[in-house]
Amino acid sequence: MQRSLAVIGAGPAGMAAAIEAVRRGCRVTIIDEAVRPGGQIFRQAHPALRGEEFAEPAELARKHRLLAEFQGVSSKIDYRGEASVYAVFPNGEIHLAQGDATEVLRPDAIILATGVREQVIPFPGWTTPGVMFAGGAQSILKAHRVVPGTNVVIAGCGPLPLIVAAQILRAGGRVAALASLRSLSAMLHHVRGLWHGREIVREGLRYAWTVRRAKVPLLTGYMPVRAIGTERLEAVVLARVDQEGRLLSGSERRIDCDLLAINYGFVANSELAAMAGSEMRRDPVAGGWIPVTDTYGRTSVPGVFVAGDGAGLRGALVAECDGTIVGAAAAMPSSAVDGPTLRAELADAMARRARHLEFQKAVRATLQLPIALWRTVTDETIVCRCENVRFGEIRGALEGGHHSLNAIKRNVRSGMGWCGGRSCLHSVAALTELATGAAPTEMMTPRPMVRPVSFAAIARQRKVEAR
Amino acid sequence: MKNGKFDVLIIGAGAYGLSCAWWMAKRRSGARILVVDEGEFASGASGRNGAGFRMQWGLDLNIRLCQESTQFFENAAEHLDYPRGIELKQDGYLVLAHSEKAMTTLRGSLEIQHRYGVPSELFSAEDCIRMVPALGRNRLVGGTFCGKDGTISPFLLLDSLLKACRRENVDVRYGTRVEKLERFGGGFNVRFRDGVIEADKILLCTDWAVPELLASLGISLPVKSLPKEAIVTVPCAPRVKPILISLEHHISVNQVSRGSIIFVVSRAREGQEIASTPDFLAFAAPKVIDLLPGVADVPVLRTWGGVSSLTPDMQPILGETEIEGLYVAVSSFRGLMTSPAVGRIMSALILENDTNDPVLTQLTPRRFQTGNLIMEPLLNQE
Amino acid sequence: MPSDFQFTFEGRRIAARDGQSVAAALLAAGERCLRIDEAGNPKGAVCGIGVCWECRCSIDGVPDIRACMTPAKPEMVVRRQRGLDPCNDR
Repeated sequence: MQRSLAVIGAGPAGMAAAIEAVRRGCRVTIIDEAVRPGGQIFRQAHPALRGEEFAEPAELARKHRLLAEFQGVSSKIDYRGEASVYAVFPNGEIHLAQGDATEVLRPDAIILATGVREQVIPFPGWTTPGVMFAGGAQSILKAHRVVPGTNVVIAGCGPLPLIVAAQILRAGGRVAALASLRSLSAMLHHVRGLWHGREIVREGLRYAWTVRRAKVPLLTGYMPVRAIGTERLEAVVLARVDQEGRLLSGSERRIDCDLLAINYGFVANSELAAMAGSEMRRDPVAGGWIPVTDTYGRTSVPGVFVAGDGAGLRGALVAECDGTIVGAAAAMPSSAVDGPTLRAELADAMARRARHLEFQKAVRATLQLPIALWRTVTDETIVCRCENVRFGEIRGALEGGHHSLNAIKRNVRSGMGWCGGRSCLHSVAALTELATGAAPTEMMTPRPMVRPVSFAAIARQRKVEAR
Repeated sequence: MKNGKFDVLIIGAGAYGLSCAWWMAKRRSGARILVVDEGEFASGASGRNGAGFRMQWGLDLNIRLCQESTQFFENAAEHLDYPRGIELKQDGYLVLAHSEKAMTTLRGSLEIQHRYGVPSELFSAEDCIRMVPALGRNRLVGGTFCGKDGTISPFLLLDSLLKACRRENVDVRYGTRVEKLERFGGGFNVRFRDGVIEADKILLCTDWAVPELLASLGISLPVKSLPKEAIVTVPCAPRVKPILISLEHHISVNQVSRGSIIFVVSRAREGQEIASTPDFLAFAAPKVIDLLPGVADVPVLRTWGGVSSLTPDMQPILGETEIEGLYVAVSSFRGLMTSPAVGRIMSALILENDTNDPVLTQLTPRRFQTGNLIMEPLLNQE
Repeated sequence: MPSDFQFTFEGRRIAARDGQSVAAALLAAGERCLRIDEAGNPKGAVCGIGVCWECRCSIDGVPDIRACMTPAKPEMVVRRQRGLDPCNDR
């Protein structure tokens, strides 16, 4: 009897896992919200839009190779595009919505390859139209060939702001300033990691050269402290911040812009893993709450695996190897996973993964956010965008002794809106840690729906028996 | 926990626990009252319900408990010195009948309600649809409506009670679990993780979890847990003004001021899990669409669950157990809406041994021995 | 920007290329405010990948569609939602 596998997410980890599982004879269903596979990093444009590219050739080569390989096995895969998984239950059921109907799958094994989303530190005016996440702006450029602003300021930490700045410049956009919390030279401490990731470092240096050649003003140690504009962004005020999160008075710089692209790291899309019953742990630099997994991506729930950034932010190169390894493990009955055969078969993938993980140590050094930085969040700043909850209200709840995400949610409604806390819970957790000295130990209770779905679609539900 | 002696220990800081504590503190100033709860503020059933109160019941005891409680809610800001108020909304409850049999039950209950002066009225199917155009006509026979029924914010009620209790020097502690309960002298010894206290009297307000604590003292009561699940939609334009109860669908509907519509969909279940079950949505969606076709395309945003208490006659249990000084107050899924009256009655019983209220005779724990059980007809439960 | 077709946003004609999302075409056309929330705050696209739901619009009479996840089509009618306004057509 052929083993059935469902992969949720068609980014590098999901695609690699699907390819490996098909190779090992599984019946594979892969589910993704986008029209085409690729996830975020390998987001594909519509064929009519392809042409000039702004990413580094080496990255594009990796993208096209993997997509071609995936395309090669696509006749053997049940690909569900524009489909949203809204629940995974401890009994192994996957509930998804596609079109105007829903479906329940019950495969032998599930691989969650749901990746990460972006996080920012909120500031007054950050909800003004024209303030976007940097990766989101990059997606619009990558997939839709639009620079989402004529005069762009980019701010954040880590490598992404630099990459986005360079890509926008290559696309003919104007970058008025690039503000980073600290210089990327923090990576230099991780010499071994840099050596292992030297191809990526080379790509990074070329991006840096693009930015340098365009003479983009570089503001190191600066954060946005106010976005100006009501119906649309008109300008941003940036200021220098010290390690204690105090704004250095007199350092404010106002820069006109119509797009502010920001990124301060990433949060794992781990809601489905938690809902499925996986044991979770918290690691702020690795994506917040992430499932506890072993080297084969196994969670504490038999039959539920996690691959890629969803198991801890590690980048695209790790994600692909990880997908191969997890896909192999999920493809076989659980009793066979721990034997020496699988380890031998995956030796190469594991070695590559280990090498890429060394480089990720260097990257993670640039994503460390001192908790003190959250001091910059003022009482008037909106923290939960969906429900318009300001920090002052959250602070009131904290002072009232409500320290868990659930209790704060019950108190002031943060996390109860359309996005289910995706834009705010990392902020609430950080602000709680700053105020009380301890981060919340528990996630908000994971519950359906991970995506909103209408009653009508739910009533049109198809149940698919895997066996 | 410093070792201490208390006049009354209340276990459970939900609506019943806090209401009883406050009433006791008001009744006897200087009373040493401790309320403990193993969870966080509002983490139990009082924080997980439809937030409604109705006087539309079929038995006099339920009508009276809710009538008194409604009057309390109408003046809660004043009674509890809570200027913010508890978000009282009195847009009424519309109870729907989708069969002649249900309609007959409604008519009978209406008569009893009128005897107590409840301002409820009989509605034809057309009346119902005029009030809530989103309602489905399918099998709808009619209903009853009472404009004084409504909703409050359970969260604000609990907050106002908590603050009022603390003002009266009631000691309220969360995250505090009873580890051992035993009789000692004429009262009780209660052990917690970090200390022991003595209490002359104990009131159990842990609802469906009451049997667990009773068992440790060697007695029992027929209280079962009843898990219930609810659906919350995205905020949408106003379309359901009163609370709706459909006796046939076992659904209650509450569109809150934020715009989200909350559907509590009951079904016969066992267990104590508040987790959302895999088959709930598929079970509930067709019923919701049948009841309110107008919401078919509204997205579901969230589901949640809570646990209620179930007794053999679906009535609360109020009174002293066979162990002297040990009292129980079990809500039978109408805790929030009876909490003010129950607080008053239990405080009189516990502090003054006042057994005059007829409700105490009807709801005594001892009724299960005599078998004198009367069912409430207007139940929204399978 | 070269254009393959047009659609309508709040009565204005917007140029788009095959395969572009509604959000991308609107951004290219200089539109930023895609929605007014219940508190009266103007909102636009933020995450670009369908996670934040800030960019939701009424598209061809169907409310709450994510503009960043939806390919633009010729003669689509895209409207801003204002609070819980019944332009939602529910």
